[in-house]
Amino acid sequence: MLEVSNLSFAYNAGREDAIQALSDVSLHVAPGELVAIIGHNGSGKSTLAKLLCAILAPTAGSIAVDGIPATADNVWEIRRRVGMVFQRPDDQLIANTVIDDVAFGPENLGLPRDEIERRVRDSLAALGLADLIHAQISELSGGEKQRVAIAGVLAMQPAYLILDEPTTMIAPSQARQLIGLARDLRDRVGLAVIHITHFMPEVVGFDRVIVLDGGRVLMHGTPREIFGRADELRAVGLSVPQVTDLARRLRARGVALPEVVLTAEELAVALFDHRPPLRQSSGQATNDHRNGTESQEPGIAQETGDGRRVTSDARPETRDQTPNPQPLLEARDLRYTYMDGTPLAQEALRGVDCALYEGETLALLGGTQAGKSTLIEFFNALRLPQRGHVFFEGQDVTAPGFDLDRLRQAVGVVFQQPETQLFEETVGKDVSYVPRRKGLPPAESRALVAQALTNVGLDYEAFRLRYIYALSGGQKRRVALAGVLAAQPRVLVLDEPVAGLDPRGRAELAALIIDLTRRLGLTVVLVGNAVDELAELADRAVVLHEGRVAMEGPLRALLRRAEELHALGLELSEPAEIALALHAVFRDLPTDLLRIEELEEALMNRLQIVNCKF
Amino acid sequence: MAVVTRESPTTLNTRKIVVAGVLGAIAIVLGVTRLGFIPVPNVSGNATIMHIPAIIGAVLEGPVVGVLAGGIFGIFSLLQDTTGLFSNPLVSVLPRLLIGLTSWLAYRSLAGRNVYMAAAVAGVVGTLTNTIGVVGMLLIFGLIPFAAVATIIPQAIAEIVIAAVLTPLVVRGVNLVRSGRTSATETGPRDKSSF
Amino acid sequence: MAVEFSRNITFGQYLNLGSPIHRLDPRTKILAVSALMFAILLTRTFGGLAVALVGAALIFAFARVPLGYTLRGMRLLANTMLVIFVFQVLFFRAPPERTLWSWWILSFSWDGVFQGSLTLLRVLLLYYLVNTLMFTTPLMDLADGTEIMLEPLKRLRVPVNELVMTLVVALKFVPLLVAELERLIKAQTARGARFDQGSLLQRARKLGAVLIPLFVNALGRAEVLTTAMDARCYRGGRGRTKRRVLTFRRADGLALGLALLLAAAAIVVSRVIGI
Ligand SMILES: Nc1ncnc2c1ncn2[C@@H]1O[C@H](COP(=O)(O)OP(=O)(O)OP(=O)(O)O)[C@@H](O)[C@H]1O
Ligand SMILES: Nc1ncnc2c1ncn2[C@@H]1O[C@H](COP(=O)(O)OP(=O)(O)OP(=O)(O)O)[C@@H](O)[C@H]1O
Ligand SMILES: [Mg+2]
Ligand SMILES: [Mg+2]
Repeated sequence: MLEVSNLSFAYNAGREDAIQALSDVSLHVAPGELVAIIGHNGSGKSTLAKLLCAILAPTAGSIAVDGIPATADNVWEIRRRVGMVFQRPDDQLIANTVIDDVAFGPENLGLPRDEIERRVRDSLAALGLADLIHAQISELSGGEKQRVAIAGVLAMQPAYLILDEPTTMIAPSQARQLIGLARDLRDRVGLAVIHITHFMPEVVGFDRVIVLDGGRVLMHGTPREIFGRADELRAVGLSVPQVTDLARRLRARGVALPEVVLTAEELAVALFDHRPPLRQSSGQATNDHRNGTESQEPGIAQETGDGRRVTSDARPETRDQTPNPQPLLEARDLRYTYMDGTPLAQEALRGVDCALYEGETLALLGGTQAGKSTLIEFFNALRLPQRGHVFFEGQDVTAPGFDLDRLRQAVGVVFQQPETQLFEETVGKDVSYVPRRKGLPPAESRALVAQALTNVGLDYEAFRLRYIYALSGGQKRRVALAGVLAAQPRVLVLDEPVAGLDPRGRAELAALIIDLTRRLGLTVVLVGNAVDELAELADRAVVLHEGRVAMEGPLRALLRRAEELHALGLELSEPAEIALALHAVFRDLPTDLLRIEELEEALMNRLQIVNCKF
Repeated sequence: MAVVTRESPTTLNTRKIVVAGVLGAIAIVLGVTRLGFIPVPNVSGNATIMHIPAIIGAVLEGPVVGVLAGGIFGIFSLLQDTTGLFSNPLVSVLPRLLIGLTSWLAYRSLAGRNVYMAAAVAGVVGTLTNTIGVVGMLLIFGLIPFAAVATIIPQAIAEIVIAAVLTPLVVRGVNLVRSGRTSATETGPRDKSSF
Repeated sequence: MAVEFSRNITFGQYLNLGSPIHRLDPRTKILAVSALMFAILLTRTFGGLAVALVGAALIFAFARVPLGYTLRGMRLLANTMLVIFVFQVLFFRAPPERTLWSWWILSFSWDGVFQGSLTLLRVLLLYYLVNTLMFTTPLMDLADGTEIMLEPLKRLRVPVNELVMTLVVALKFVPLLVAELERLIKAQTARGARFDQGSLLQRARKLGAVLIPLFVNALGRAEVLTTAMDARCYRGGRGRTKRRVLTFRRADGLALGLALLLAAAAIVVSRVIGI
């Protein structure tokens, strides 16, 4: 039993700049329990985790692990029993091969050789890494690295495993697999798992959920109890899973559903009783009805009577109808290999053909390692094509006399994880980097900075002198965006701009980007590894897979080909994934859905049919 | 704030091992990317800044970290020798171990007055240790003729200048982050500022 | 464009090629390479270097590492090597009757060119040996091998494990920091910065703009790794055991014997026979 009673902790305790991170926290975790800790940024989750494995010592209150009090004398004993995995895989792995890293912990415990060997193999097998035992860590994907990190902890045979946001830096599909594996461990070796996260769907299968806010325990209960209190959660910057939200909306419209629905499967079961009558009894009338309601909504696929689908244009109203014949940027048979000619060669682009037209918003989608980030580096001549071509306004960028500076000026890129790429000390300095470099007069530069900061939703006066490192992750991304906007580009390329943020930061930034794109009328490329909240902005989508363009077209048309997208390693939008899960009940439920409201309507239509009949 | 915090400047704990390793890694990175070499106008050699991580380690974390980081730099230059002069560890490693020591002494004796001045002086002293140590050893082993020293002087001066500029800059940056301050103060008149 | 460093960086990179050299005991490889390096240092003649070259050729024949890959890392260093060559030539003091040209302290003679070529060959050999050692031996094998060989020093209370661990951490961070540097420089280049222009001081300041975030980020990562190592119960060499069993096989004896023989031969050829 892991027992925490009246625990308080302050950083810099006793000094005037003390930060009270935890106050009067009491909780307990039984062996073999699955406990999730949620809370928004700065609520004290990581601090609690570090206290639990004796990296920090409490300023007040006590912690006991299996009856052993966490005091300075028992530090190593506690750390052996409570293992911890951190957010960034790269920063916590020590060796450079899988087997050596997993052996690091057992070696520290001074175990005999064959025992170490056995534990290493067992824990690698438990995490499905047996084949990668001799692999180089640098060659693994983020999800695999995190599994190695867990295996490394598991090999020390702890009784409690703490996962501190292990999923924020990895792709959604890998994240699901990771959580599945962690839960497996409970069943197989009786490990208690304490999972810290921002992502609500991850915690639905847990035994208990603890909600932290401002260093205190705000709520405590089963996922069902916690997610039943959606409004309270929202008040502290947390959300409920979208399917829970959907069920709540349906309930509010009179559909008889249980109070809290946690998964799409649960919803499917609950809706089973409301399913439409069998084929022979349905017939014309229902179809007419369906067409009638759906056509009120622009952008949703319509179905003709014979079940074939006809696409309505994705967003006919947004852009002018005549497409510009000449693309602004175009890649033709573009190929690129990293470390070409070495044993480490890595083919990233294998003949990409795609175009970007003035004024459009293009979604560049693809699973991890599809080559998205590599491709966009060609868009502003950070890389020049060696094989294949890139054209800017019809001119080959490698042609002699081509003005690369003009291209770099025209295309502004916000790279992946932009917060790691800010290089000046203060916000003002960073945002004014390009204006200063261009030698603009101070007044003009100030105006640009003010405008850029305002555009990204940061108050100019309050932020111009703020130190970069003192900003939150979401704020840093805004500053990076402002820095690019201050250069007044014609094309804005955003590489996974909302990935890895907590839900509140993510929602805010997404709303801001949507607003910005519509307002500034720029040509925009949105790079993403899932069809997310930003995708609905796009006029057109290009799906990359293994360095080639695998699919192309209006986003909703692509969403209708759900299986193909899945096969390409791409996540659908959450409503579409839920719709897919509900196919067991409503076989004709469309998947070209971007918002939960659309799914709600689609379901209501089908349910109303039933209601009409009975 | 950690559970075990009793430490003297000479103990070697996990944190010091890791910090020294990271600083040593920066030295290696500056070497392998060639970013740590700045061509000096009109002179054949490049001014190097590869020893600066060792100085910064000494200033920020004390002599042990400085010496270890310098040692890694030394071992790297031993292993990646491209001149035929550094394959002797007494030339490539020993003087580099001393960088951390001398720059720490320089910093400690002046830090009471002005931290950044002390950091700049530590940069100068550390650079001198590196240059004099290496050149001295080369001379002792007869690997370069005495006459060649004259050609090294411009490069040495460039290195001193760069170290005197960069060391306080980096130390200031790191200290700023560690201080937890959130806002800078206005430096000049507002209407001359570019932001 | 100096945006992609990783392309030319081969330092410390292990290549999993499974060659006979890969399978040798790390101690064998460390000792053999050390012996050859020592011999090369003492060698003052082409004859001696030729013997060492035989050793390198044998390693090449068995190691399966493409020569082009080994030399790739040298590309960035070619300039320095050229400079050193010129340096050696111009500073070499040949007897006056063999000097073709001289000015102040500089001179030119075929003896100087000879000397310069000797140095160049020596450097190439040393570089090849060290890098092949790293390409064919995983980092942790090297670390454990070194630690076991330095074991006797532990009696003198030298913290061998800690020192080796410092090196391991450094080598672990090199690729991560290269990637980080690449990101920083890419971001600055995308916003129009140029790193290869300007006066010395301007360059120092531009470098500062990259180095400050690099140091700050790297030290931040050091804190995380420290916490991770603490959490995994690392407390130095005390009471630590090793998973890895190093076994000295017949092939090791053979390889080491051959290396020592070649090293001795090189020294004899150079120092005793003098060719
Ligand atoms: N090393 C530190 N020194 C001083 N204050 C700190 C330190 N680490 C965290 N804090 C502060 O303690 C509080 C709790 O931080 P903590 O990292 O535990 O939050 P968290 O819930 O894990 O947040 P996140 O979701 O961002 O990871 C915050 O106000 C934070 O600023
Ligand atoms: N610096 C590099 N050195 C070597 N290989 C690289 C490098 N950067 C990317 N790659 C490889 O190129 C391929 C494409 O990578 P890229 O980063 O373009 O993909 P991505 O679609 O942006 O993926 P993600 O969603 O993970 O960001 C991958 O196989 C990757 O391993
Ligand atoms: Mg945290
Ligand atoms: Mg990417």
